[in-house]
Amino acid sequence: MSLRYITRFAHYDAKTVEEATALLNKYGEKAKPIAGGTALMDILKKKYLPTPEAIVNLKTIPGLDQVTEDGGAIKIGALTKLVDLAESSVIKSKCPMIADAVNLISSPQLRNMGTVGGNLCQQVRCWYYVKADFFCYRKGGPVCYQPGGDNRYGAILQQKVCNAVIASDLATTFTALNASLKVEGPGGSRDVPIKDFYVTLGNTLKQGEIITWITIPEAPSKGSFKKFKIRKTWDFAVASAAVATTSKGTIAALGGVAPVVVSGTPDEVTSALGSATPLSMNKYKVQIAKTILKEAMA
Amino acid sequence: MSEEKKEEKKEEKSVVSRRAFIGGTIAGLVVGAAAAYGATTMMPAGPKPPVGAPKEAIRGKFISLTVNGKATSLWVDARWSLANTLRNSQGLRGTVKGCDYGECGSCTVIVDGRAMPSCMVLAIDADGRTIQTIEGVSEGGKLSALQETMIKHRAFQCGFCGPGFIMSAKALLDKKSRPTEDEIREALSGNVCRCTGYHRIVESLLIVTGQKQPLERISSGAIA
Ligand SMILES: Cc1cc2nc3c(=O)[nH]c(=O)nc-3n(C[C@H](O)[C@H](O)[C@H](O)COP(=O)(O)OP(=O)(O)OC[C@H]3O[C@@H](n4cnc5c(N)ncnc54)[C@H](O)[C@@H]3O)c2cc1C
Ligand code: SF4
Ligand code: FES
Ligand code: FES
Repeated sequence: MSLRYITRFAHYDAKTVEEATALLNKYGEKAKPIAGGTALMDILKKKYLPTPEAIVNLKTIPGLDQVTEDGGAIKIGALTKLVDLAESSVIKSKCPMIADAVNLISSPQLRNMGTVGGNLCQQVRCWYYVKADFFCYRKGGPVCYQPGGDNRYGAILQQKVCNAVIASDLATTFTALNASLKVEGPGGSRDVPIKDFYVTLGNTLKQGEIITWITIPEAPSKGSFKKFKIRKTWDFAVASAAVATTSKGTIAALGGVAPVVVSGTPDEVTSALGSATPLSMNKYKVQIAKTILKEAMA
Repeated sequence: MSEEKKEEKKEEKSVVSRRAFIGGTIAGLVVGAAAAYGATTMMPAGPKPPVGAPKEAIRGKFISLTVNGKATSLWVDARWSLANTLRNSQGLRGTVKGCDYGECGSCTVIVDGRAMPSCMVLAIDADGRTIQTIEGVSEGGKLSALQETMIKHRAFQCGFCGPGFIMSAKALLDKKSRPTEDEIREALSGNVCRCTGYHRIVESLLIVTGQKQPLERISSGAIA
């Protein structure tokens, strides 16, 4: 029980993006934003990462929970709840693959809370990482436990220092859709293409920065998202694939196979899978990834 | 009566009266606790912000909630989950916790019309929301048709998952009066039951929405 007792923190309700970023900047590394809280509550309770000194509630910022069409582009507010994203008429008519992806995330109850921004910024779910007892490389420790431990859900590609896989299904989907993220911080705002957003040990958000909008430049003429999971509901992807075709060509993206989303043209991604480097217990994932990619391209 | 016997009788009496006294005290304590309990909604309780913390830093605050139709204002610590707040501060113990990590759905309550696992909501973030818990499902002191059907058709065995399932089911039925079996299964997919295998739970919803005949054998009453 005591482990679940949440450590004290200061709580702020931010009313504007400026206020939120200023507060986050003031506390530096020691503050975290909270949106739906479905991923952050896990950290506060399991304590596998230090409890932030301050938590800044973004839900009180008005206007960031909308999905709109802007010319040919689709704009999604970072605080849009997953359920609202899946039910949005813009998404349903212009880009149903996003709704397909959302409906495969966690459970209906959690989708009523979870937000798009929170989904993109969530931590990996490596089962060593999510336990307070393991001080692994990703937490700044000396070692990665997966190669010598149980690595059945580990990465099969691009393992550099960490063998965890990216957990966010929307990251995979948005990568195939060539989305760009609007990031606002104390130093103003910048646009980051989503394929440059993720790095092996996390993302490229700087101190005090939050995601405010996601822009999909062009609705795809054809697109699909497929996900293989062990349990039908609330399970993370063993492997997921998103493929989208626009006037600029086709992009394929794989989730659940590497610390970052693996993307490129369908041929590039297929050949990357051909030279996969599975760990001792997860060779099966290569075949699953190949099949799921094929299904998404069909 | 010999002196000895008298002495014994006296002893007995004092034991009795001591018991009566203890009983009385316990009753008093319970009443006292209830009075203090009622007062928690009025009084700021729990830790105060530490001295020297930045002015806007909030360690807890008064929030207003509408719980089962009743507007309340209560003080919450920033660390409290909505589940703990409902159970410990509002005395609504019908909302139960299984995992505490958003995985089992047993703590599901309806927040502004949507089912959510209350263990994953910070109470402080629920300021101004309208909440329905299992205690608010019965109608006029009688179990709702949904609850009645679930009991009659033995939807549950140990029953621990019940409140969560009923809240998820209610959120669905409030939105759609005749959901398909697929929609029912989807809406309940965030709830875990370790006893039943889900079949009777789904069936109960089909029955209560008039899409399936009540099962003869059970409805005719082994349980009644
Ligand atoms: C049982 C369970 C199953 C799940 N299954 C899946 C799944 O299958 N697929 C999947 O993709 N996810 C899954 N999740 C992960 C996640 O809870 C949800 O996907 C959700 O969308 C996260 O959003 P949130 O708003 O609740 O995040 P929060 O918990 O509020 O935030 C998550 C992180 O992002 C940061 N953050 C939040 N918003 C922003 C922002 N705008 N800018 C910058 N940083 C921000 C927070 O500081 C925090 O570190 C699951 C979670 C649970 C508990
Ligand atoms: S795979 Fe990454 S997160 Fe998991 S133990 Fe290794 S370094 Fe840590
Ligand atoms: S106790 Fe909240 S979901 Fe399990
Ligand atoms: S009846 Fe026992 S958990 Fe569902």
